[in-house]
Amino acid sequence: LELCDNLVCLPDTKAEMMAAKATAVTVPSPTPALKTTPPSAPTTRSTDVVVHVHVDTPASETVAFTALLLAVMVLIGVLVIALRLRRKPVESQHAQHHLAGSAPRPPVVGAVSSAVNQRLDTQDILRLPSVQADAGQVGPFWLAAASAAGLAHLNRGKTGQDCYSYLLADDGRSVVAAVADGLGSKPHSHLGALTLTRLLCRELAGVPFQRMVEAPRDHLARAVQSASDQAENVVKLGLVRDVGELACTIAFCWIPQPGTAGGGYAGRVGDSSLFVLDPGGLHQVFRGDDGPINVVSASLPNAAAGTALELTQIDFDAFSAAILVTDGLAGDLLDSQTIREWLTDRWARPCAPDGMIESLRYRRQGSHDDRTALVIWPSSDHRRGGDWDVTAPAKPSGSAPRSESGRRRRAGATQHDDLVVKRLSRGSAGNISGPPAAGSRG
Amino acid sequence: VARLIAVPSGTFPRRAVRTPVVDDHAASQPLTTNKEMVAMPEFNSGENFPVFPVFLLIDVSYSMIGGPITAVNECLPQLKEAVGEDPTVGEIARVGLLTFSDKGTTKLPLSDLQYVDLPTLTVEAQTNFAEAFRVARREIDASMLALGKGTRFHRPVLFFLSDGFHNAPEDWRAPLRGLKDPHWRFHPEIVVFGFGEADQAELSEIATTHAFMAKNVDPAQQVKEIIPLIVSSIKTTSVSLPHSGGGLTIEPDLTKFTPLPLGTV
Repeated sequence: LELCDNLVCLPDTKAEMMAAKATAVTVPSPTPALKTTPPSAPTTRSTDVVVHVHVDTPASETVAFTALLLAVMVLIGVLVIALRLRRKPVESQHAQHHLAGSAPRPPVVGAVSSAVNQRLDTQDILRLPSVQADAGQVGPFWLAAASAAGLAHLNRGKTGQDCYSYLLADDGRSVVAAVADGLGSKPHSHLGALTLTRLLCRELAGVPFQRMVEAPRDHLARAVQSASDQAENVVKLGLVRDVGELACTIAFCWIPQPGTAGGGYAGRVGDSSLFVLDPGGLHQVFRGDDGPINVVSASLPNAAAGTALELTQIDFDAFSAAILVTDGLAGDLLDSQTIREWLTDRWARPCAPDGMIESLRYRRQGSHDDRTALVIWPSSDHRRGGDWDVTAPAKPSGSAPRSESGRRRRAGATQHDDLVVKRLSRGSAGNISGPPAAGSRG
Repeated sequence: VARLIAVPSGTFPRRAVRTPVVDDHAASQPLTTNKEMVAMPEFNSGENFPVFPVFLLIDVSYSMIGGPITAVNECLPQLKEAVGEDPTVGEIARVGLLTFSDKGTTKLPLSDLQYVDLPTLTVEAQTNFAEAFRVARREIDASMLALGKGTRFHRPVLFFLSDGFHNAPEDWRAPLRGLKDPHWRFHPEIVVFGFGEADQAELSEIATTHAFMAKNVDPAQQVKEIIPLIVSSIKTTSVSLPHSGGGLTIEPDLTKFTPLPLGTV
């Protein structure tokens, strides 16, 4: 009863509360003054209703402030949890896309249909994988390559017919690479592409550096002819009845260690092609043919391979990347600005295998051929790099201009020799161990 | 580009030359360099899509009256269906429809059949092969040039259908030689189907890769067997075009067609 005598019942409305506050009875310490409000409005003295209590002391304000703070913190916590919960599906979706190789999404150009069959070859035991990819260090270079069967083959459940290969030269002073495109009219041309890329790389890799520099045409031609001749072994193995069934076009390059005077060499038989990339964009090395695209001008194996061989000399040091492609991809690079920009962007920097596969996953009206690309970046690019991850898909980026200082450094062969020696002594040649850390010189 | 290498001395050819290199003489020649090749971009600034051009050259002479011409009109829509059904065909195949009797006529210029309706054919007058080959060359040339500079194309294919023989005073072999001229950039692959009273020797001369004579005794039924085969060939060829070596894929039912030997003009 004594306690209740000290209670003052207040109205609910704010105005009345304010009015009541003026008349509130404050109970001296130790019992704090309490204000109670009955459920109904009338302001009366009561001894039986205590609804809510406001402690009208400095301590009560602290409690209120603390409660408010706690409420805000709880709200923030809820928001953070909600955001995280919302983000998880996005990340897993991203991961799925990543596994499928579709993030970021490759472009779609023209009127294309999504209703395309995708059948695997279930009849040819010697079929090629429908997708192949590699990336890693090869001598003083970073090399990434991918080959994907085209819709024309997938639609019919046939194996793709493109292949690529690469080797570090036996003396470690150059890198050789080749891409080949089997002729669709030949049922076993994928074996030809598989065999000839490897044979040609082996032949080119066996030529000592100095001898190649002294007589490039002779050695390049001999290597092509020798590879062509050795393709006969496939017939001897009984895999095909006639060497003509192995017919394919091929493009290759021999790239010496950076800084080598005289540059490197590229060649081709048929319409596979080579492009080079620099800050100004993409450049085609071999001129295209203006005839029908399904009529092949030359192919290997060929008893007189030299008659169909185109050779050229290139200073690979002047470019940020060299790109070997089969003709399906070459056509897209030449005829579609969208695809050209997409691929140029994807290949502006060294990338990982999934990045290479992803780069080939665009869709373009009428582009149904197999797609194969092999890209070689000089060492300076990945030495300068470090902002990319070999385990992550390639990040789109702008052009990758090489610094003038880097170029000047490259002018000195001695420094390059040091670089090469360091890399080779590290045992990095051909080892997919990822790029060096940022700023590292290997 | 200006930083491209130069080779020791000499001039720079504007393009790579396919030079024999296995003989000693060639091996001693300097390498082709690419200073100007690379500087000459061949890139299209827009979007050019590859095209597989198919032309049908159909005999509408008086002998086609009745069942045969009706069968042609009934079966031609199958072409449109084939293009619509298979995206790999629809994305690339373009079809032109030509007819001939005593004159050659373009009934449908090279078109994407997804967006056009096929015309109905009617019989006309006598059979003149010379007119047929003239209109074929003229139309192929015009259509291919109309695709625009830089458009990549597969070798055109011309399906020739006739139920009769040349019945005009002028020589038809000279226009045929013009159509088959290998130096002509767009010279087509000619596939010939004969039925009714067609002359097999003439058919053999006209074809470049395949010639068939329908076996059925009923011309209307023969037409109904030929056009589905053409449709099938267009479909199969469209999806196998990459590096097909220029070859058309055609798989006739030999119980219905007799392959004819290829002749020369």
